[in-house]
Amino acid sequence: MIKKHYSGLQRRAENIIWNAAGRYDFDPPFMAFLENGEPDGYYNMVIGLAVKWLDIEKIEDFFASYAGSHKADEFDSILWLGIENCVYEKEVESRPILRKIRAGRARRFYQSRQTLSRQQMMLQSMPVYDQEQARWAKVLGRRGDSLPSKERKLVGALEFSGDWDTEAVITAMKGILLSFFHYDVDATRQDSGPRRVSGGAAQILRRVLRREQRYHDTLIVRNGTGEGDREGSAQLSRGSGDPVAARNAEEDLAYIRAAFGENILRPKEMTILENNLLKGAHADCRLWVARSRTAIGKAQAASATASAAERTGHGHREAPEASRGQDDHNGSLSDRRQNLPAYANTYNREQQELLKDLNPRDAREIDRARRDLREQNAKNEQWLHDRSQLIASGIRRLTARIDEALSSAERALPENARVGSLIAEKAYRLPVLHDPDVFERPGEETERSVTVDLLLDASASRLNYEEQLAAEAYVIAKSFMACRVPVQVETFRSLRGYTVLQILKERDSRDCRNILTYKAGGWNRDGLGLRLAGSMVPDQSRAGLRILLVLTDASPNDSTRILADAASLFAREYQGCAAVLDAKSAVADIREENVRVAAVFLGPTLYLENLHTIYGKECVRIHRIEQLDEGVSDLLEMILREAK
Amino acid sequence: MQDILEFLRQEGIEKELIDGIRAFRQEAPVTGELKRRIPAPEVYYLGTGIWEKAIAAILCRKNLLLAGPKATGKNILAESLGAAFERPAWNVSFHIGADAAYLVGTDTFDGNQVTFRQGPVTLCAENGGFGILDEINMARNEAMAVLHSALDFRRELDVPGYHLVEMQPQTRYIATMNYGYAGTRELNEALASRFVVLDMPIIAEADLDRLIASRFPDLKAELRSQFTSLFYELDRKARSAEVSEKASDLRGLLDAIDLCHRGLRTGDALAMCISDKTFDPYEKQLIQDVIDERIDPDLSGSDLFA
Repeated sequence: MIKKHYSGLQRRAENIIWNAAGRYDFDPPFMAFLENGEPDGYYNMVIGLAVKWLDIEKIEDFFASYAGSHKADEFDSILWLGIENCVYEKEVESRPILRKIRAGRARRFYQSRQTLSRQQMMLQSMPVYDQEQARWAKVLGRRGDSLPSKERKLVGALEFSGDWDTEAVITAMKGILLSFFHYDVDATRQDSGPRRVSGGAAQILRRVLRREQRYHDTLIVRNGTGEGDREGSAQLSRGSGDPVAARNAEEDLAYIRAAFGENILRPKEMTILENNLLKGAHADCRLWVARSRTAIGKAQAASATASAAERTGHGHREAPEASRGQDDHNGSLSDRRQNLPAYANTYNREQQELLKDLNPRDAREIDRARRDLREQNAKNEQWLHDRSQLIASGIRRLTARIDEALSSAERALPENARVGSLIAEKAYRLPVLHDPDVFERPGEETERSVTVDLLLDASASRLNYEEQLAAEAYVIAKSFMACRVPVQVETFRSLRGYTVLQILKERDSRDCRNILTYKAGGWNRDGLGLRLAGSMVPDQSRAGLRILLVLTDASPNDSTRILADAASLFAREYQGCAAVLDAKSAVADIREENVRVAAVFLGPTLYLENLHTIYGKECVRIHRIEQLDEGVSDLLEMILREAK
Repeated sequence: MQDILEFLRQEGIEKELIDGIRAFRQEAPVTGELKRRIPAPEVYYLGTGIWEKAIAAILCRKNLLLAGPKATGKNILAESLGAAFERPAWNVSFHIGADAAYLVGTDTFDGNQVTFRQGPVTLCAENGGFGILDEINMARNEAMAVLHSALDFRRELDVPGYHLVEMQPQTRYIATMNYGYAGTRELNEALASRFVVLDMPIIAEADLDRLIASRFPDLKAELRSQFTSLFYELDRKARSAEVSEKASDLRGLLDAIDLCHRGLRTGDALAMCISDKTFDPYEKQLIQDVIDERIDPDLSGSDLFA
């Protein structure tokens, strides 16, 4: 009935909890769902009311104290019945509807009982079932099933009074576990010591674990939850040894080529770019610009795919709801789904060639990185699919906001009319030709000349946010495209001295699904990454307003050091203040070129100061994808104001 | 409707300010057709502090900028001020296409000659009215540069090809702005400096209760408090960015009670006036959840009203 983690409709459940609690500044410790997966409205209200009326941290700690027990779920469900009664009595006076909602929940219990199969009944915990039916029978004024004396006593014990405070509730819960289940919470605590690490200790532990990534210059990483910086989701690199020390130029080049594919810039273009960018703090770096690997694979597999699709025709994974019927890259959805195995094969053949240039260790790494990339792609798509409704509404809202913001910025072209400002040079037409259209007023036609480059930080620090970032980029790209604004989506990372810019979606393409191939790994040399992305923005003749939007955690660091210069006699690590100032100067340089740079920040509060240092006021912090429309449209409005 | 000066007295407004209003009214009483332009709001603004600041500003010949989010009563206050000072009002709704001609007037062809057709700002200036410039930050700043001379110490409006319009001493401009809407912009310094700004707070719970009570005196007190709580719950959800600002709709709430008064069930009325205004199904569901957790959808007129 009440679970500690859930996905899918969890946002709705959270909203019910927040509303009942009257606060939105906490992550609900529990959420309740019905058997059909829908949020359990009443129980979510109860959880919210527990936050409102009781000290939820203490309650949560109590629940955590028996988390190791094999009966933990059963205890949860039974004890929440006690809390339910307590908070109901506290709230019902100020919220009379609660009486009706509670009765509705009780009726639902009996309705669902009739529809449960024998197997489903057997899966339920009988003690929980007995207590629930006793509670709901009382709520409805019915005569419940007859219960043995011990269970009847438990029914009475679970009627926590509305006058109780948190301590009284916890004391009662301890008493119930001891008396009815012979489970002594205090004794268990002493025996086993702390079962979980929380608070400051957890932060330190996470930082230590995370820190380990710093010593690995590799693409291979274990995938995160995609849900952010949650406790217990700290990531470790699977790499071993010290690749930095073993680095040599040819091996590095082969590694980068195998990992990202060929450089898409011609040698002459590359030379110009390197001359412009690889100086000062970046003199010891190299650049690489590539397309996303799946894009390459798709292009190469185009012919092979058709026949493969005809042969197979079924058995492939569902595409996200949100993207259906919206992407139009060279074909329909079915084509795209059937593409997957075919291009994967082609991809492998092409890559086998590149693997030949690698030493065995790098070859193994790249092979594993490709598998990780495919897995991450699937995870990104699944994440989007699970939240298809949320994503679709996010796109709709952001599109509306962008459209409105851009409309307010574009100037209407004048048209001739019978009223308005008199056009002196046409005034003669009035008496001579009896032409009344000698006035001018703002017409219907407008012009929009905007282009957006969306840059994602793809370094290892984004490991826990991969799915969310891919979805955010997808929503932003889709929304701008719906407003007739061309968007290019790129990622940047640094690896073995190379700063790699990878294009996930090209400006003239309408296929946004490739954005879901986003995968984090490596370092982020923000100063160079930003400059490289800045150089990819089209020149002003192609668009009046050029925007470079960066999805970042404002925490630059790289394994390639800053060479000694006028500022320092010694080479310095690319991290901390020096890295932030370098990124700041990159942003300033790009802005000098009349490109508007703005940032959407998703990351720990620790780096907020960096964010403001690098991007000034043109940045916004979001915690959840639901805030994306407001955040991006606020940024856009700020940019448009400045542009004026 | 209660006499507004009596209402102000009951609200606890300083006597000097009320006397000031009386004196202002006697300076140039409105006559003839213009009397029809004096606002007669259905409810008066509630909030003593804001009232006092606004009255003081107007008595000191200042133009007012009422800034605040949705449902803070900006337009109610503007109308109430017009009613209190008994001045004709010209409402100008700003939009992205609003330009100088829209505000000041346009040339037009009348019979045999090009004539000037006065706009609301000019008419207001010539008749000593209150110009209510609604959502002033929806328009471009350059379109409003034409108002600068009217709004500052010069108090005149020079219309090329027409003549210099001198503003009557009673003329005031009351602008409203919501800095949260998409499409709005920041007022530039030149324009903002010509107003005194009243930062409008969201209506206090006790005032909202009184507002509902004054609009619907027969609504049962225990249900009134549930409607009040519903408004704040929706507002909190909107401010937490879980739903759009559309949900925080005081007008919609009052309209819903009105529909109930006419016999509609609460569920239908609240859907029509609040949740159905959101066309996003996901957001609508979140709003509907809040409504369902506060108001019984099956209540009819007889359950609600004594």
